[in-house]
Amino acid sequence: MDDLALFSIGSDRNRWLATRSAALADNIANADTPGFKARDVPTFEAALSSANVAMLRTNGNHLAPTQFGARTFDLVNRPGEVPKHSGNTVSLETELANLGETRSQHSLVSGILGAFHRMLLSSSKG
Amino acid sequence: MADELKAAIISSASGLRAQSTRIRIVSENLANASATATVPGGDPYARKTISFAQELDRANGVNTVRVNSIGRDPAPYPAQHMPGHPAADSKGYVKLANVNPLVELSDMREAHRSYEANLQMVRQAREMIGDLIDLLKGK
Amino acid sequence: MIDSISGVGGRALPAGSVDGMAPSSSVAAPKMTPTVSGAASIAQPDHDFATLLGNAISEFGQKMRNAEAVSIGGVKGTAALQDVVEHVMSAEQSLQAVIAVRDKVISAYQEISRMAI
Repeated sequence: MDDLALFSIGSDRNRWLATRSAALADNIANADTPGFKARDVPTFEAALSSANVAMLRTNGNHLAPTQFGARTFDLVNRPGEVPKHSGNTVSLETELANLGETRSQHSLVSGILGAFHRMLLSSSKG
Repeated sequence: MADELKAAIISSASGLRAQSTRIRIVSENLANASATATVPGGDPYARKTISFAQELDRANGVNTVRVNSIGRDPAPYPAQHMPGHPAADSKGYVKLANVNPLVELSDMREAHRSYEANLQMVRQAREMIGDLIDLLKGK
Repeated sequence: MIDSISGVGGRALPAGSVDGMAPSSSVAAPKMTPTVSGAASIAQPDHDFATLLGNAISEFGQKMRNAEAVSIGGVKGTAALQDVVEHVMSAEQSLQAVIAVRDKVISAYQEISRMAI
């Protein structure tokens, strides 16, 4: 199959969005923890260019490498946040805004992948 | 954790628990805002404080929050001159709880807001997981 | 992505059932020469199945390329949602057309091959 381009980048984007969700969840859970610094993923472009690709492995059977490398994205401190008196840098407004954006981007990518997947399935029927 | 969306739900669940405890503490403070001692010169209700700490859930490799400690506010008790009150001391002063209802209400609003944010996070993580499963189901 | 889906036209027709039919892996229209003698004069060049299918495939190929390019933009966040939706829907419609024409061609040929010689 030569359809690596869209499925591969779609997969990366959704993994990035999932990692971002975990970072946002951590920030929101620790919104009142003294000294806690809000973190986020780097931008998607920056994340793609770094070489964090771990091949998926299952215990026991060795899977051949697929086009869906399980990328990991390291978190960075959210820049420019003014710490509260407690040293905490979480702003719920920022986190919730990012959360909404993450949700709709994830929905879009899933929708795109679904549409092309269905087209592939139709074209190889009968 | 391999599944980041599940990790998000674990973090948010810990946030919900922590904020729930905070809401309970604030509620106790509010309920006891007027509680004085029953014996002369005795101490009234002492305001409770709560603090959180970050915790790494080692089993899952997920960052969570936990209640670090529940303590007493060391602020002094305000005294009001009420001779004849059961808790009045030899000079007629009664110690009142060191609770300011306005402060507690403000704290309650903050705790509620944080609770709702954690809830919103859980909902959205679940929806994102649902979108992926829909792909499997061919929707 | 383009080639595997565009090949739907070339792969669909059974190889060997029609003279001159080569399995096609791209958007080129397959040449169709009926084995029934005399039937060759029936098909009009401008409206025959070969042209119909070829046009449908080539239009689909173009739409598919556009849809994939815009969708990659959608994934990266550089394309507008409206553009992604329009291009993907257009490609899906085009694919349906290819599949419909292909199915008609197959059943037409099955009819022809059932004709008494």
